[in-house]
Amino acid sequence: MWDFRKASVAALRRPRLAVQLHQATGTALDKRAHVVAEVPEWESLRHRARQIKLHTLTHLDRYVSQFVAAAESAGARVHWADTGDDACRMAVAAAKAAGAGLVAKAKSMASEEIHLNAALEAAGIRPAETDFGEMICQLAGQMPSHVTAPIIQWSLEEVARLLVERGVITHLPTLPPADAPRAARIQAASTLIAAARLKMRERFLAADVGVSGANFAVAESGSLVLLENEANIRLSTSLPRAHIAVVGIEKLIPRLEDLGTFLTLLPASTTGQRQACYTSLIHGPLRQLDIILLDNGRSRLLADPEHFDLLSCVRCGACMNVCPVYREVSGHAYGGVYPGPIGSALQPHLRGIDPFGELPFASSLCGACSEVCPVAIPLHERLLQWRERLVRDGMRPRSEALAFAGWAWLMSRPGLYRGMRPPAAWINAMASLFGPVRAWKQTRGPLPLAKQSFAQWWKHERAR
Amino acid sequence: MSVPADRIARLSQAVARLTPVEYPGAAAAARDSEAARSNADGAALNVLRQRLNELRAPGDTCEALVEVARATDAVKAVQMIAMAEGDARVVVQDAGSAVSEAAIGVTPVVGVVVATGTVVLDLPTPAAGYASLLVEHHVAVAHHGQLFPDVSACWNWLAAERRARRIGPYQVCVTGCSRTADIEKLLVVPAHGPKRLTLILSAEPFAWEAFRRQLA
Repeated sequence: MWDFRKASVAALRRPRLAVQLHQATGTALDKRAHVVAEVPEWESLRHRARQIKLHTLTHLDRYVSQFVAAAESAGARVHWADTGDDACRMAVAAAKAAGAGLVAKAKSMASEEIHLNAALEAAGIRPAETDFGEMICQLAGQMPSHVTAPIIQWSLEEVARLLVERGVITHLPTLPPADAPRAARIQAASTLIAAARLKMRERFLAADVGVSGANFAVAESGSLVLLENEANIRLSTSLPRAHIAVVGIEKLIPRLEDLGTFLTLLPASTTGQRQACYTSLIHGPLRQLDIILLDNGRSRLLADPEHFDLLSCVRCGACMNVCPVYREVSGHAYGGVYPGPIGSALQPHLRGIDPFGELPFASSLCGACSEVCPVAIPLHERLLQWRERLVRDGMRPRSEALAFAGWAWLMSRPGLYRGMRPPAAWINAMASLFGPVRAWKQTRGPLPLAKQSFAQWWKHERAR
Repeated sequence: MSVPADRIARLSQAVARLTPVEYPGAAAAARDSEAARSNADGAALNVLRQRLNELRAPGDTCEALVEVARATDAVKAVQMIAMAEGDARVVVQDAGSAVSEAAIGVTPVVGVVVATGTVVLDLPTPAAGYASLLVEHHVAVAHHGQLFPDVSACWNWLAAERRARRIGPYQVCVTGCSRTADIEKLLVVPAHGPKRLTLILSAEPFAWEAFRRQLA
């Protein structure tokens, strides 16, 4: 059974994981800051995006009906899936109807969420992930660890070794050391990507069906909008004879005009690009199109007046990049496909508070996620509300409640508190007696403690 | 309708618990209705050139914007590109293309976004996309009347065009060449698509069909 504490401790023990994460997320954040600085109306765009999303969610019944009617009149088949299993069954049925032996899979968090690959395999259909990072995840039998950078914690060396093990390349190329000039590392990465490209091109040409998600679904026109950099989504949606799209119901926006706002915010937040390389706009079937609208707990969350705005997330991944917790432990520690601050707030809703109720506590509540969010979700407030709910409902250990009650009791009795407080010098002396503190201090300098407490200083200053 | 009524009813029940939020205000809507074209003045063209050049693969120094006066010059520009790349095979965007790979693919565009260096393709069929997808080098051909200042203006125009059915069921906005930074954020070009994008921009408007015949 997954457990955040165990998973995060395991992650912290992995050498170089945090270094790798800090470098990769730091690069993404630098590029983001550069592009955001070019958009003077950034804050008003965020506000507008939030308004549009909240408007859509508070009228979602109307917009879903409108989307279904528009998509069907354009010639698509639209299905409704209550659960992930339902969605998998529908996707398998649609793929079988199209005679699929091989499916080209575009990157899609919704299909990760419902474990579509396992369902396809169980039905005798071979899914081939075509996004480079997702392909590595599939070869390694791992979940992606970031919503937009699936192998963010992998080094070039690890990727190369895996490609050799799985026979994508025949022998391990000589790789420049980690501190070699960036151009040399890029050259080495290019060789690996080129080999994968060749392999994937065969699969694109052989695939019978393409499966994708969607970044946006436009209610007015029944359109799907997909963003990418690699061109694998274009290949997956336009080469095979059938296209199946698994789309969460929260992806809806009212009108095509709204895309101007979202398509400025999303690429900047994701990768620090002004635009994604390819934005596909599919208003109707290119050949044949099945759209599976996925509920899977979303309508239950929609009925939560305090938390329904979590459904406005556009899955840019920026909250992961800035999160001091994510940057240490990586996505796998979160036990699901949605990691980081948004995952911590969303997973207990979608997958239950046992065991995901631990996640809202895995946050420093620093608020960096709320500041960076392109649709202005107050994520740290949602996490705090989760803690209040879990404490109120008695979901936390009794020892924690006792400790806090004792602390509150002591803190509301200043006389007693002052009397019990040891002189500062004692603290350093005592610290070396306790094992954990001793270990902590081994890698740190001595704690310089003030000669007097703040209360003493205050009293003294006021008396002057 | 293929979505059962009780599922919509479930959404209605959920929505009934929420305070309705209005669609954002009139000022923003007014901005939406502007589908303003960009002037093809020197400043705009400089920004466009800079953006397109920034989008090149690392180390690619080949000029990404080629300005020409008229359609016949655009034809010559394509021929020169093909010659420079060793008489590379050229395919032209065609609704009925078979899947095949070529070195250079030439496509028309319906819009160009100056602020981002984006070219917008209107693809009547999936096969029409191959000339910008299964090639090494995508050469897009546009004219001054197709420039939009920014993404919002372009999307507002696209929305209106689609509503009036003046464009088809499938558009792709292309910003640079295909890339991936999945490994250690190292930028690698190409990923699955072309490794170079060149925009040939004609000052005079021209008809794609005529251009195509001349090229053939």
